[in-house]
Amino acid sequence: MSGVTINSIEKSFDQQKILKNVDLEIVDGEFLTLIGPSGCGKTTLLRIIAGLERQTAGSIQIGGQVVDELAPSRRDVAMVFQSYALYPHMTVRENIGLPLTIRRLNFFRRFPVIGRFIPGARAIMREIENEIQTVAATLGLENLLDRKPRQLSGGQRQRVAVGRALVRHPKVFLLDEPLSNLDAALRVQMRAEIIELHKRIGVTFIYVTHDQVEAMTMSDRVVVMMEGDIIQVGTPAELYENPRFVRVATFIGSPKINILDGIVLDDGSLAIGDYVVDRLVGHPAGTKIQVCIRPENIEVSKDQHRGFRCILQRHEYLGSELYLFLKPDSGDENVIMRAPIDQARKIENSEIIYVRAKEKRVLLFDQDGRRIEQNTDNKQIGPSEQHYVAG
Amino acid sequence: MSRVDNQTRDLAAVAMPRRQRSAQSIEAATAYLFVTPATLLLFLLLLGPAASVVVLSFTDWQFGSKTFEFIGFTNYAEMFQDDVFWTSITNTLIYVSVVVVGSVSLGLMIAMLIESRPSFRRVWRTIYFLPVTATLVAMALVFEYILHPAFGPLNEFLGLFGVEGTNWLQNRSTALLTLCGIGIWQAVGFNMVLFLAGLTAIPTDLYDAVAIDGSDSTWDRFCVVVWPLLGPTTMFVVIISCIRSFQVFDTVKVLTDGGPNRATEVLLFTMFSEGFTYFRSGYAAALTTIFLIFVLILTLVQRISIEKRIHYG
Repeated sequence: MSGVTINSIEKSFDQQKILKNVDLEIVDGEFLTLIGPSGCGKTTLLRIIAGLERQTAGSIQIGGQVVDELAPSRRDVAMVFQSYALYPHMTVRENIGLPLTIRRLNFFRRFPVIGRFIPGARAIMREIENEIQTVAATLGLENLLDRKPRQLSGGQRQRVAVGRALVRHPKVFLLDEPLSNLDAALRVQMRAEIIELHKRIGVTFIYVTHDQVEAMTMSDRVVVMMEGDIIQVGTPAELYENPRFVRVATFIGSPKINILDGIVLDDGSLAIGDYVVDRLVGHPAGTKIQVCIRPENIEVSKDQHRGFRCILQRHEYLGSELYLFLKPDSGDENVIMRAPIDQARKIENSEIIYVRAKEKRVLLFDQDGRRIEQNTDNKQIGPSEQHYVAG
Repeated sequence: MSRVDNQTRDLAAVAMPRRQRSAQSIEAATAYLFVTPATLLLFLLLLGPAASVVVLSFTDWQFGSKTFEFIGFTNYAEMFQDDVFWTSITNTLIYVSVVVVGSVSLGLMIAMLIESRPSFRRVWRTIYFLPVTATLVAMALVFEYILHPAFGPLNEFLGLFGVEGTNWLQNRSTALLTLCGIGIWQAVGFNMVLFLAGLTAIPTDLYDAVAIDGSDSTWDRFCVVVWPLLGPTTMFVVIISCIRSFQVFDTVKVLTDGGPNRATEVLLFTMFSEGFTYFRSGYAAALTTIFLIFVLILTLVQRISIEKRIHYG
């Protein structure tokens, strides 16, 4: 009942278009992440959903109701800010309780000291206190209720900000890069807590981040935005394995996907230098193709004819695996290969090796960056039996 | 041989700390040497004059005379029995409270108005700041004209509505308040600039948070975010305005000369007439001491409040 529908939203500041005709359907109870490089409009979109920013054109529906004319406080959404935006002069208790006090107590009842003597005020205050206690218990903040925000650590502040959002039981949770001010260890922990929270309360979460790890690990669906446009929507796995644009392929995945210049030969095969990667149908000879291979889909080939020549420039040892930085002979940019420790360790720096893509693990894009769908039966050319042994 | 070796080692062990100690004392001496000029100037230019005023207040010294005698608290006793002193204190306190309340609240209001409108912000800021830079003695001429009972624009303007103006500066019941008005006019710009600085320091996220948390009105936003977060600024502005309005003198001297019938007699004006008209320097020094005590108390209040409370990390 509390899905969010975004209908042809546009937003311009002065002459600049920040959002270009954005359409999106967010399902009730879904954890949806908006991801993109800074300046792509993801935060603006979130602020438009919240009502903090007014769209230039288009319409927003929350739970089937058009909310374009509603003030932020009446849209039944809660927001967690990157800076936490806690009220510094209030205790944790007052911070969490504020959405309730401001709604349920009128100005006079809220008045310091005198307010509580106005009939009815005390009952409401007790009720609010109970709700604050409940929320504090869920978030483990019981012992911090009398502290001021400046006496809290980053993670605790973040939790208070979540508590302030939670206390109102909103239909939709909006989170604007809530973890980016935390250190790495705490970020992992808070990530788990937010996932847990989403599972427990089951309302719609819209999460903005530029961190692909957060997007991949937390979301049901991820929306990739670039330059004010949505360029792909899908589950984390879809985005990683089946990017529709080379921009998505490079944005998602770390280390970055390798892009090599391929060319279609006369016989319809696609080659990087001497190395024939694939066979392509429907592309004239001479067409340039961007051949993208993820680092884990590269393997070492002993057979010189079944790979392209590279010089190993350096290793990066990560404990569980190894990154090899290879300089291809073809003059392409450095290629990164992710290899299991025991296999790749024996290769020395400046050694010449031949590498190749694993079968069916190549992503092809045309010169405009659009994905080229490969035939389902695409295979490596040449004899099927290979005796490539790593390192 | 090993014994000799040990001895030298022992000697070295004793000598090392001694050398360190002397190095430390040299460092300390150097530090004092560096501090000396500043300390001297501090005493000579700031603390010295203040102390000599306090000392003078216990004497019967008259300006120009070669001798003086210590007369204990006689000056203070005389002062506390003098009606002029009490009139002067009352007038000063009235002036200070009216100007502080007026200029602080107006300054805050204007600052918030300017802050809420992005266009022409700089122009507005400059316009409101102009009175601060204007020489009050020169501007007093303009005010004398505006307030003139016969041809002043103010009375003519009031006449349009059928209200009969008065001789603002010569009427006992309006003179002090008129000076308050001019005081406010001058102080508003300064306070506004301080409040603008305070307002820009409030993170915009807080306005967003309070909008989502349920405030629909500007008033809610003011109560929940603006006013509490401006606490430190407000404290500073109030104290500064207090101290500045305690020092009111030029408008009084130029426009009313303390009159009519001492209706605008303020502390600094009394001090001036005792010291420079009647040359009773000892008595004037006693008045100055009272003035210094007021300012000192205000400064202490400010220091304590800044250290104790109104500071959000």
